[in-house]
Amino acid sequence: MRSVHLYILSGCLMLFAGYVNAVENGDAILKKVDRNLQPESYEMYRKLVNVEPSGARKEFVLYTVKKGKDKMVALFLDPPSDKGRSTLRDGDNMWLYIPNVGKPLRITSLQSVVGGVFNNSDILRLDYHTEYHVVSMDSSGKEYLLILKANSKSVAYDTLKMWVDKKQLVPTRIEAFAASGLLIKTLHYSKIKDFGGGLVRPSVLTTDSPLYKGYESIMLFAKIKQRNFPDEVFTLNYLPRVESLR
Amino acid sequence: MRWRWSLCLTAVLIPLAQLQAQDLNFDLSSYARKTYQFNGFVELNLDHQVIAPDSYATRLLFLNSAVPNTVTEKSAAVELTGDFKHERWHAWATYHGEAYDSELASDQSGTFYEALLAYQPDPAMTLELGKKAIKWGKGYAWNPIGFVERPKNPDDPELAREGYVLASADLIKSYNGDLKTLAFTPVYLPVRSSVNSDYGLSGHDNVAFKLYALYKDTDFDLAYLSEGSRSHRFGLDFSKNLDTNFEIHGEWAYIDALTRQLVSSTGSIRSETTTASQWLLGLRYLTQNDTTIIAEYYRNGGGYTPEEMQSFFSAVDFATTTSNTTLLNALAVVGTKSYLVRNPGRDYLYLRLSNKEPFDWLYFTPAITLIANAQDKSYSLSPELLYTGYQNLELRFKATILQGDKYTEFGEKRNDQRYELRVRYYF
Repeated sequence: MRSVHLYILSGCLMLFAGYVNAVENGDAILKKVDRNLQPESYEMYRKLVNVEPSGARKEFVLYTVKKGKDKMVALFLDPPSDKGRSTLRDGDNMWLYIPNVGKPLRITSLQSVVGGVFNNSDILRLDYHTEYHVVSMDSSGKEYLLILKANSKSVAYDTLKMWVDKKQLVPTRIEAFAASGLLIKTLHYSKIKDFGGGLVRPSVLTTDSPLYKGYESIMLFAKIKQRNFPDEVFTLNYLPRVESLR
Repeated sequence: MRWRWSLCLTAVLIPLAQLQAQDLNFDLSSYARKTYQFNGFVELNLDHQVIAPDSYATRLLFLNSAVPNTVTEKSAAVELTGDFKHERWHAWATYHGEAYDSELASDQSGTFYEALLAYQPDPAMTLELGKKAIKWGKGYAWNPIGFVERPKNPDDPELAREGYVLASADLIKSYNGDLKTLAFTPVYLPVRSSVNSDYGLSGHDNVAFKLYALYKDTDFDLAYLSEGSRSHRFGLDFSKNLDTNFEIHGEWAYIDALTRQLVSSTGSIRSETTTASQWLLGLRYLTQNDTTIIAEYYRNGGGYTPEEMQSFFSAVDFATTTSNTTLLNALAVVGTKSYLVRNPGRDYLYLRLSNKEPFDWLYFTPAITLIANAQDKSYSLSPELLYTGYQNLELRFKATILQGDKYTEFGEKRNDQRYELRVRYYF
């Protein structure tokens, strides 16, 4: 009888060790995924395209700079109606600066300054491992499947299912869920491109959502380059002057 | 026949594929930073007002002319911003020109809203000299601590405003820890007969400053204005996100000496100087169906009570009954400066609901705005529809209905209803 108990106990321990190992590996993979997508501090140019079911589209061009774990600014370069607008993120805080309004307004991560499927947290996205931790990993398929849980309630999506290419260690697909289990949106990464400086990653991110049937939002990445900025760039007072960084 | 179909299909599919590929191109060279840049907008407006024939504002406005049933104003405006950057120097100017024509008047005007030279030795310091529209405070519709700016129009808070000629600096310091940012903004604003003459008393060198802190994820500002063209005043504001969809803000200002003009029911006019505190509490909330709610309560210390407003309107009655045209003219002047200005009362409620892209209508934003005088229960209600679906073009239709009893602020405005159509093209 004692030996049966021992078997069960060692089985449980092995399972637990396997779980811990998978989570540790998963966290390590997630960190690699983040570094393969972009350096920790960088400047980047992106185009956002919102496509309606009719085929009509609206485009936005953004210049983005990021520093460390959680400081980020995005400046609108196009269209002319939005030119000069900028959004700042410092941790969980987000602000929008509109030149005419002339002072930064606090915004929330679930709002969208561009309309369409992308919300503010998609546009000012931090590293995945900053906002999420791995709760399980399945490596049995062609790709790793990571289940990520938000580190706090202030993160826009409660849970992410992330499929990761085993060779490139970049995501191919991410499903974002609300705390209720509702699928909010699906992100598809595609078109691997060499951005220079050793950065080889997808250059297109397509997003669709069951909440916006027939609509699609696409993010095109044109330039991602490692660059360091002083902390003062990521402050409200600097928002009207972000253009001077280019 | 089959090869013809294949050919047709290929002829259709290849351009489609090319279009798709072309669409996914992103030519960065078009967005390279230029030394010079120009941008701006032109707009056309049509404004139709249904005049309230018996209101006191109408009676004072049309003292010497017949009261029309409606007034339709056609106007055009252009706003052009030029921008020049060279190393650490940055200069820009925004010119605003407009022309209007209605049954009552026609005119055109133009002025520089801003014209500024900035020097930035490093990202933590900026020095600026010229005309600038400074905007302080966290309130959406009102800003009690907006000490060095022209007042905002709560009916359209996002409109650009003309600045003042000033010298200012911006000093920023970032930290790790609960206190993340400290920023200090001193401002020097001279008032002479030819410079900033509408700011206040001439011959004064006014000094103001704002100290900003981001502490424990909350924005705080401390603002101060020295005694000079306006009385000494100081204030505070804060703003914080309580949740991913919920923001709260507040603002408070203390004014050392505020001069009010008071009119008795028999038309005697006198001035009174008092201390005043003005404050505001507000929130911004995003619902699950993407409706943004902005709500603010504004206490305009120094504003008129319903009894004081009624006294003024009674004086107009008295002057009309006694055919005292001298008094009517004097009341018209006092009214234009104080009783009939935008939001002269003491307590206000602002509520705006806007729903982004309801019913899957991409780029449509319907909204409704309520501005209510909380003491006399009069209000204006403005439903509007904004469409931004055409590239660089913005269409806005806005209707405003004003309601209130006799002797109330909105009940005695010059119009009952107003309909505005605005077409704005950005370039």
